[in-house]
Amino acid sequence: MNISFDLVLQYLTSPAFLRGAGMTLLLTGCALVGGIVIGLGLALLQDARAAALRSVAVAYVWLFRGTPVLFQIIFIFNVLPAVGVTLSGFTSAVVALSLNEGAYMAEIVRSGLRAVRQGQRSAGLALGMKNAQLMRFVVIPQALRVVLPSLGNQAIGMLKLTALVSVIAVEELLLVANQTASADFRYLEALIAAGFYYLAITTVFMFGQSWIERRLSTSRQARDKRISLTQRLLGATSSAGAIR
Amino acid sequence: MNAMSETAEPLVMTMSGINKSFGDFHVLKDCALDVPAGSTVVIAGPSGSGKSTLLRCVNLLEFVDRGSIIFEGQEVARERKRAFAIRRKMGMVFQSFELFPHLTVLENITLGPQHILGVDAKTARDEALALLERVKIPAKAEDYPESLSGGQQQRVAIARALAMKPRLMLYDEPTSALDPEMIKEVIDVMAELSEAGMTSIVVTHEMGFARRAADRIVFMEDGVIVEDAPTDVFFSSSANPRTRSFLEQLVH
Repeated sequence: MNISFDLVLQYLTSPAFLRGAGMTLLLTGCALVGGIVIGLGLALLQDARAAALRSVAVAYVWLFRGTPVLFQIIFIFNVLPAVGVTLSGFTSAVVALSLNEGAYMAEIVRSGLRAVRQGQRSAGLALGMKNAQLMRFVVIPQALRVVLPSLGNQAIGMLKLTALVSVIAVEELLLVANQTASADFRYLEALIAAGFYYLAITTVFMFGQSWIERRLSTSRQARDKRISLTQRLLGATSSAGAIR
Repeated sequence: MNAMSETAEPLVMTMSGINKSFGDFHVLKDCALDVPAGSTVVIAGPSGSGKSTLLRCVNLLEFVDRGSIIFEGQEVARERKRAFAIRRKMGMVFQSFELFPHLTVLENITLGPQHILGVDAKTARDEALALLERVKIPAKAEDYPESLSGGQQQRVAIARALAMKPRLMLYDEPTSALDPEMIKEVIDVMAELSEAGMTSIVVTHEMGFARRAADRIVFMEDGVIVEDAPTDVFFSSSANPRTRSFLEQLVH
């Protein structure tokens, strides 16, 4: 089998692939935001006083962590219309990915909120902060620093999960590549082009994450230190010790 | 030291009949305390005696079950909804400093004035730098708290509280988490503030500070205010057996 680099280049610059990559990014972004919102709600439920509310959170996590994402995607797209809820492919995809992500995000959000000590809240209150100011100036900035490495991992994980929604005909990167390939009988070139996009986007994510971590760091040493890309590719992000 | 027991001074804060329980534990029992303007009141006593809880009740970080707290002429004991506004007029310093670790020293001090009181950035910055001079660490403005010693962190915490221009300063065991060699630098700053007329309530075991800066000393035990006496009387001629035994233990 011989490979045509011209064709790879042609795919890479074609509007269809660009749109596919754009759709993949859009899905990733929407599902992450949805996941964080659901995760925040679940985290609050998990720490609620009422046992019934805590049970709701437990049941949610059990349901969404205990079934495959692919199952959830297909279920929402194909079964919900039977009970009168018809969602477009894109909406179904975002809903399914967000619901699933929320179950994982809850634990991350919770660890972040817990990392902010009670004394810090007292100090903010003693300055005369209202609750919203306390969240904005004291709790969220500190919690964010704690969860940032995990959020980066989730973002990269989500980018790859979006490939699953090709099964419900959302025109994301993998579906575009697959359709192009079967039309032209050039699987190698089409998949190389798609793979190139995936790698390019994850690489940008990694650099972005490392840049934000350095920006938010409170020690000069860590701000000046770079974590090598190989370290990040090998998944060393969460153990990058110097970063708080 | 301030003008001794000038009873003519108006009261910044007065509380009476204070009772507070955590579950079955009756922490504060009928406590009463007057704090005249410009005075420094030290609260001493064994750990678990309710000193810190009393201080947190003054700042409305805890709410009393019964009793009255009058701050600047207003009853505040049950003002849950306006607690934030009342706290803005009091400064509080904690045992464990509680500087915000994600902000520089300067940002720690300007956060309150700028984002809570709405002072413009330049004014807030100038005032913060002046306060850093006052607590004797002007060179650390751009550093993060973690690179400071405990004594420096506590002085920044004092500056952060002062930046809100409080009418009353509350110190909750401000030197208890410090290494011995750093206690003096913090005490010096607190004593200078007291001498300059800052009304203060100080929960502390540092009797050196009490001798130097306190107008009155309140001795607490088991949630009860056992004694409330002018500083010289407290140290020289307290007739209270509990106070005497506490002072004797401190000598060792």
